Amino acid sequence: MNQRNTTRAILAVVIAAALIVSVGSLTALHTFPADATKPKHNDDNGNDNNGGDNVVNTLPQQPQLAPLSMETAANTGGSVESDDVATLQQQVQPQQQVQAQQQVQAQQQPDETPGASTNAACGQVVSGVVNLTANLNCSGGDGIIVGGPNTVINMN
Amino acid sequence: MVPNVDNVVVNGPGSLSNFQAGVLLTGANGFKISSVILSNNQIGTFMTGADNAQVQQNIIQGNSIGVASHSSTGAAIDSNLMNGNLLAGITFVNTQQSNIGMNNVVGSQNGVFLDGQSKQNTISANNVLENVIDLNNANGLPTNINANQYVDNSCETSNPSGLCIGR
Repeated sequence: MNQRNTTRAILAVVIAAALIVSVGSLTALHTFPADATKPKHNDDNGNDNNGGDNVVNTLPQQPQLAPLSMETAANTGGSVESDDVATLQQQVQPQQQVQAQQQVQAQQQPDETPGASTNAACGQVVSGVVNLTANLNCSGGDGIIVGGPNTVINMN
Repeated sequence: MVPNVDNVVVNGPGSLSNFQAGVLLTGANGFKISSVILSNNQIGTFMTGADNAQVQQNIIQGNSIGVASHSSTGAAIDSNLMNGNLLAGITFVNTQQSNIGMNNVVGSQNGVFLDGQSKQNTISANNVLENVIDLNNANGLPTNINANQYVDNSCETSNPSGLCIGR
């Protein structure tokens, strides 16, 4: 009987200890996120960068700030380049260059496309189909210069 | 100006006036101009090193030379009205295998002039009148020397003689 009582008492103690540990762990899990965010803000506000989270936070900030500086440099016509920004140029500039090239090509295509119907000026190099809609007075200079094969000039 | 480009076409009606050359062809192949008034230029149409050019149905007047062809081949100068081109209506210099047909050429020093280096050309069915010399084959060179053919041209004077129909 004494042995049964002692074993029951031991089991009860073990169960109670397990309950305490489990409840404690649950409370700890609930408290970690709140505690985990607080040090980051505190570190960003001037504490030394000792933890791995600080490195992760600072790395995203560099690409966010660097392109802004590049954009302002490009708009002002400057040519500021640095080693820190070099990798960002490779990521950002190709997309901007492709878009800019597409816009320029879209603007230039109507003028260069053979078959476009346009008027011409004195000394202008023309190609495609040119319909003259007004008189040209080219005193002392060249008239129209044909710049491509199969050009058709319909005079006014 | 048509520099070294092929198959260019100029369609009238319209006029080209007061240029050194109303049309300048250099090294162009397959050029064609029609229904255009070429007036008061030094040369109405000047082709040099041009192949297979066609000058058809134009009015060419008041120029020093109406049509000048230098070192060209295969030109076709047809059905043009040429009046008052001071030095010549049509001149060929070193031009081969070309045709001058059915043109009216009036009021020039030389209506049609071909130099001694222009060979194997055909001049046919033109009205070449009221010029100092209507047809001039290299200042009197016999036509069998440079193998040019003069056929059915209505004119009054030629050098050498005998190039006008009925004369």
